[in-house]
Amino acid sequence: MKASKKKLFLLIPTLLLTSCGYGLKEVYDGVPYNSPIFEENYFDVWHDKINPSHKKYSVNKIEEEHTIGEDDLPFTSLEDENFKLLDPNFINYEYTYDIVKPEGDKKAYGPSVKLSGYDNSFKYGVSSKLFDGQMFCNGHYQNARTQIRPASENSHGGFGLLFVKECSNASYFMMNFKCSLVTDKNQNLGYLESNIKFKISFYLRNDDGYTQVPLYYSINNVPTNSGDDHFLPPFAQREDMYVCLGFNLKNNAYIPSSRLCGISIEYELLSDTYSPSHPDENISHAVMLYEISFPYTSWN
Amino acid sequence: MENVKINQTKPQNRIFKWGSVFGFLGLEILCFVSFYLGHSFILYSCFFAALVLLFVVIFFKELKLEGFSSFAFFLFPLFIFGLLTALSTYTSHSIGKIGVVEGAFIPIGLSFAALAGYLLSNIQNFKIKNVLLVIYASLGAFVLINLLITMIYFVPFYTIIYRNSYIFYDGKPSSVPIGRMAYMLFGLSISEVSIEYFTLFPSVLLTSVIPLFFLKYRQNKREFLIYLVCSIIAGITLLFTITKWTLITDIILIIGIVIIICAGKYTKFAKIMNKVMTVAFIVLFLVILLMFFNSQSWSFVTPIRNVIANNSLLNRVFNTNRYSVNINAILNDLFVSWKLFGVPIGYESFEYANFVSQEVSNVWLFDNLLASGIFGSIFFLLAIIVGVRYLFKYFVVSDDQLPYKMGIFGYVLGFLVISLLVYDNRPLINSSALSPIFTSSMMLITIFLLGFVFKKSQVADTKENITSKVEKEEIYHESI
Repeated sequence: MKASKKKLFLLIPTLLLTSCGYGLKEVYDGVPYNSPIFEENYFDVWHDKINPSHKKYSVNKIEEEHTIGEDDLPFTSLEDENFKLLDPNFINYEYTYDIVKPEGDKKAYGPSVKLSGYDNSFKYGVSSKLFDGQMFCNGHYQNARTQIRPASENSHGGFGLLFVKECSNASYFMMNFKCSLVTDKNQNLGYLESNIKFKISFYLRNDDGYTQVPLYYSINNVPTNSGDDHFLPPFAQREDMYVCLGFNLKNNAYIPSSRLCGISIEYELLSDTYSPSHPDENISHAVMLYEISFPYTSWN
Repeated sequence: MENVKINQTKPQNRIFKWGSVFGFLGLEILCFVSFYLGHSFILYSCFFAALVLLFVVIFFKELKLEGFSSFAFFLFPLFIFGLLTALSTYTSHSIGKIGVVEGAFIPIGLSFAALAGYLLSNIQNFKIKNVLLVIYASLGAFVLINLLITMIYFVPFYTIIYRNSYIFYDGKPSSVPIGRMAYMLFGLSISEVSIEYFTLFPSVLLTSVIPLFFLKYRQNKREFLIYLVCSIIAGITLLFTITKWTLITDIILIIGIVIIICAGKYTKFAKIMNKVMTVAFIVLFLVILLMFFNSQSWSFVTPIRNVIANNSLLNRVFNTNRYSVNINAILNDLFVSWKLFGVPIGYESFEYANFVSQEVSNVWLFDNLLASGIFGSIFFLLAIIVGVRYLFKYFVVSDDQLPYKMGIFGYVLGFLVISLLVYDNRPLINSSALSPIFTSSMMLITIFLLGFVFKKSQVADTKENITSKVEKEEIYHESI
């Protein structure tokens, strides 16, 4: 009887121990980052341990600046020859709007290589929007885009995430995005283009904390905003309105692909096609990031 | 010594000889079904069908049809209900998209579950004591797993603390606040389900507290502890996931359990409760009748509708609570579209079953109208009424021990009543697929138990037991 009683009482601490609130790390009163006010939608979340302005910051910085060059096989579309070199299955993919099923045996690229498909830990939290395979806007903005703030004098902008698990065999990196620009007047500015410089940092776990591996890449003529004609529904969903940027990670001398467990993305607005002709107007700019992936990976 | 010789010379009954094997098989199937594997209705149906067919093939010569005619009043309506449901388009909307071929398993599953209960009750070794233990222990393990999973994701009382909060999952905000969802083992994966659906399982498990009041601890230590642990698991689960609505259903459940316990303990209380229950059933019938008239747009019911609409309490009961809108829509549609009369055969409609354009009400009494039409739902109700009537008869006539009779009573009535209040036809948060109650594991176990009590409620009219039977029937008639 005594043993039975002990077993019964063991149930209570077991329940309390399991009450870790794993699903409660991010809770919201409503749907976040979906305000009609542009400025309120910036996703500027930084994990404490990789946030330079936080006490818990524990990152060893690699000071050397590495700019993505031709050796890293960068690509900006799935038609790019470098993409064909990096992805052995390139022939099976179509860079198509997610809801439209590709014809024949081809598969939509985004849903095929989404991180949440490789590991369930990517399904939790508001950042899961970046890992769900939806590479284009389908009208449900809150479900799709992550709006990134540009670097300024006061802020480094961007966001920084640490993953629950580690990746040890990354083959290449991919992200899909476009830009957005609004003014105080909040009018429709029509189709524009932006020149931006990314700082993409990978975080590798080490004994003391994390090692940051920063990579820089400049890209010009990034599609910004939709066109004037809103009666053409495919316009905002057209594949050529987005940039699918990626580069090699496998056997890369500078980028070790072992113990990869985090990412931060910052950018600097170099120029845009609107500001020069409207020097008196205040503008707000953002990179609308839709998807991030490390295709063909396993996470432990 | 003489007795031993007589027994040795008697040709042994094959049912007695092979009974243990079938009893064990039956318990394994019950354990499996009670553990619940999501929407695995076809699998459960196959298990029950295989058991029954094997039983019939092996014991064909020994099978006697005495008393089968009364069982047929239970089996036949169930089969007709299943058949009409299989033919309707309702099943096309259920989880796993049970289509025309798979839909055939609905009459098979329901009928063979009832037959399995009826046939296995012939086996002496297949004791109700073990049946209940297996069902409750298996359900207890399932509820404990669900509780642990939910508590890993959330914290105790999250349903109150985070009742208006949302989480993101797989790129989208949850369709309901986290206070209205829970995690459970649904099939072979962990899924987000509605809190009402989640609550059904611990609610039924809580009826395991009933045998505790009739078992003597010193004589049945192991059994007592199993029921006790099951009750504690159920209690903690209901407490940790309590919401405003489940608090109401928990109170109703506890009142029901207390009534059953008191009725089992005190004969006078049982007699009073029988009268109270008779009145309650009449009131319930009148309420349903009023509900029906209130939902119709006929001119002669307008005064009734006006009275209900002008009284705040009646208006709340009949028009503005969480169930009434959909119930009214279903009842109203009966005589407007006439689509629920006859055999509701049709091709798969765009959005709704049988072209009846309203949502399910989550009260199976009315949702069966959508599932099988008016005749099918009447047949189902008839089967349940016949089954429950024999359950009462079993309670008075059977020689089974009181704790186990009370256990069956608690499980069957507990499920039938509480499922009217908390069952969610669309259990999965991220899917709108239906999970009809007649395909749930608990319904199959309820049907099995109702089938089980038939044989036991029919005591052979031998000289030895005529006297006791007459006495018992007197008590039974007095009580009923």
